Amino acid sequence: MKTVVLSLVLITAAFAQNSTPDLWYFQQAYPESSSDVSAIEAQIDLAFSYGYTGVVFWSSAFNFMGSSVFPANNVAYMQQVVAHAQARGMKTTGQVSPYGYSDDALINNPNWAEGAHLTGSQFTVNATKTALVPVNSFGGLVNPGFESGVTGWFDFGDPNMGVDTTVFHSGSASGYITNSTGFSRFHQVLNVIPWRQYHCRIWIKTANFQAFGLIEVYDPSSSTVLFSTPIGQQSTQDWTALDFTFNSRGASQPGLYFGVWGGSAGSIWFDDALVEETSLVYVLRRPGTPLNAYDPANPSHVFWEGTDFNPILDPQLVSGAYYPFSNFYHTPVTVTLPATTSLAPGQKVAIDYYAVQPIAQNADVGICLTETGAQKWLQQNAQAIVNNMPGMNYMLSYDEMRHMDSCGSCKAKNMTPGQLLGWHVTNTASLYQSLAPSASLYTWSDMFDPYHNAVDHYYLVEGNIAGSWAGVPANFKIMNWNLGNLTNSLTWFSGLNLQQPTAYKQVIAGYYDSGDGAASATQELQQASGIPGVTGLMYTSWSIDYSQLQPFAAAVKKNWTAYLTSIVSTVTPQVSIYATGVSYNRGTGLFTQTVKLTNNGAALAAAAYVLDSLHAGVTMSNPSGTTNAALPAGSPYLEAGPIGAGATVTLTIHFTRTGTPPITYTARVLGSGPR
Amino acid sequence: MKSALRSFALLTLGFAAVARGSTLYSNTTTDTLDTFFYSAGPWVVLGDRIHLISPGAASQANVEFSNDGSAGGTFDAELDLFDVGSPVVGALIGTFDLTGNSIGAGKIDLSFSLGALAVPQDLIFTLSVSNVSLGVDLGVDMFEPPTVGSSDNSFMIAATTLPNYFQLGTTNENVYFQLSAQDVPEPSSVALVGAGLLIAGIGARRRRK
Repeated sequence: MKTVVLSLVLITAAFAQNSTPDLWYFQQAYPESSSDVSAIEAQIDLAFSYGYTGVVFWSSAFNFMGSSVFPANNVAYMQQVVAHAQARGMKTTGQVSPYGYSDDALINNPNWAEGAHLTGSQFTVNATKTALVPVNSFGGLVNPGFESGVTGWFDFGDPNMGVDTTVFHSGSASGYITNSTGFSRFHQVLNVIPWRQYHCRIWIKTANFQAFGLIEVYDPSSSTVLFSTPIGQQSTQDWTALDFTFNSRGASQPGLYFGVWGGSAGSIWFDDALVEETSLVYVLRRPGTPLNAYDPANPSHVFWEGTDFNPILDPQLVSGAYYPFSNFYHTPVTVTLPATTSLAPGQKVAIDYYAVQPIAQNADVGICLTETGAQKWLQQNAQAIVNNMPGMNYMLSYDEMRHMDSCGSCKAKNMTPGQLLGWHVTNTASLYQSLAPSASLYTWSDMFDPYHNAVDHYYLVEGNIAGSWAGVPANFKIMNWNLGNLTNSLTWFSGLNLQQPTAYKQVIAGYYDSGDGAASATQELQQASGIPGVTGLMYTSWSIDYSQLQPFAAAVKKNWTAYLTSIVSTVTPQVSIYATGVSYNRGTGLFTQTVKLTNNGAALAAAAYVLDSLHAGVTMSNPSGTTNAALPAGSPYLEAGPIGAGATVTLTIHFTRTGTPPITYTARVLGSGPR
Repeated sequence: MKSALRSFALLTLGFAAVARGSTLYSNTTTDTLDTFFYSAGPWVVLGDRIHLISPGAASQANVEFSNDGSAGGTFDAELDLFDVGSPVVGALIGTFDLTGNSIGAGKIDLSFSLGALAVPQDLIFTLSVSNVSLGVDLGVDMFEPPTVGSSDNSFMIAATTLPNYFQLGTTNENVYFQLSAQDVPEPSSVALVGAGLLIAGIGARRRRK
């Protein structure tokens, strides 16, 4: 057959939006008994009765599938609840591939965690030549127990704090904060060696204390938070020690901060602060995290593990250990020496190694993106999930990834963190698409959003995460939970920003335990106003609170039409339409028309050619869809993709017809927005 | 310089050869399988703008229709020729009718006798049909660019109501059409043949030197 038109035909998927929203909810599900199954099914039924059309299952069961170390239990129960939702026609999605909060995956091997290097930690061989004794290089805190009054801690001059000589853990004084009206912070600069591990301890006592208390180590020279945790104290408690470690990274003079940010009621006391150099807490042992020991006076003189010193292994980091990163500090492993060691008593030994720095307050630890074992687990896990849970869709859980591009394996990729993450999500998408070609894929938004966490040096990420979005396949749907900056974030993923031109479909992961489902949904849709590509909302509760499901759903339905109306965009006036006659091909039996759209105005991120008022008996055979929100409804349209200012795109339209009605119609062109 | 002489010779020889032939324009070699149906427009006329290999005295025009409807019955066809050099409507140079044409399934070839119609080198032709039997769906067939004569390959004309013509962009196809001329050599053509041979001979001698 001879082609009538030589021009490139552009047919791209864009914002073919539904007249009714995707209305999903986030269902926590780890059924271990038939009664658990019944409870979850009852919750699904309740959501269904409110009009919910989909369920995203949050379940560790998915993460344990395929594991030989910690195999998933009760898979049949999980299948039962998923089938229950599917039987009601609800779309079912599993949250899988836990990158960010990776404990479920790290059960298989905690050493797959991403860790940063530590360099030159020093030890001395003991007199009996049986062990290495850590060398504490830290010179000590000034006035650690407040016995010297305000010396060392009060340089901020914050009010409502001071030294109490009547309450103390040891000695004769402590630091206190009472009824703070704003900031009340103790602070002291720490003189540390870069890329060494330090242990901090501080004793805390409270009396009727209500506040946001915090302990933090912060490097102002690099704006890096080396450690931070809320003070998880009880309102009234006796002296309790809080221990943690931090990697000094590039800092030589970070600050130790503790106290109150934003006011408080009641009293809190601090005493006997301690900082010391430590080592080997959460030491990682895998190919990408090598450990090297050597003579610090002669670095080319190396000492061999297994010969000069016994293998080093943090006993917390063993396969099958349930949530191995459950604390911020534990007594480090003692390095023992075999009888055959070449080390002599008093010999200085330096060790370079990698260690995990859990992130407070959830002791969040991320899994390495490149370690071979972790990659193999990902494949086994995906295969097991797809095998066990057919008919589901998958949401890849790239979420709050606070450790990235630190270990030797990742560094060897010679990528930025953003490139590394982009590479990984592309590969994981390919993996799932190869295993489950018909499944839809989703991801959380934050790690691909420069208005959220795709930023430079996010937490302990070594570099910039910008550009990660380039790896997200265009057919992904974004679960956008950037509720603090929702308009900018939704716009970012809508493709209207030249830096991120892919027009993703998005679901607003809303509510987030705000306590008012109706207000949340209403506000979230208002913030989406005018931004194309939002297909619905997901009621998202991390506290397993489903009390607001119904008002949330009602508010979504109530406000959906307003959202659709806000983004319908007709751009016919700025587009010149040149349509040929309609030729009939005797070979294919199809009528064909060529249409050229020339954009005489500003660049269009998306455009669609709509054929209104086709005669009865004429059917467009290659439409992208039919109009719904962009009235008149029911007209076929063909997506034309983006059209730059002054640019022309050519479309080929095919028709079939019954009888001999004329193939004529009224044309219009839609811009970005619902169809 | 040698190539320029050669080109001139070849052009001259080519012109002389055609001048002695009977085809002024033809694109009937390769069918694109495309048809423009009157009903799909709905079009009143369908046609094309063409460039003949030379002006001449046209004696016959061949056209091809296709029927996508039921076979049987008859229809009338009208061929109009226009001189492009003047406003289209005012430059009608000939109207020819074939009435009572039988309708079969698929292709229908018609031949219009033009007598000895003097035609300019640039023409527009249009075809219209009337008195079509019920159930018949007629269209003009589209073929590859001409092998005799030329066209811009992206131009076809059609009209819903005269005189409002529309330009319809197509690419590399044209409405099936063949125009034949009476075989009457002209003195000027004979003279050019001699000149071409002479120049070709000069070029050959120079190459041997």
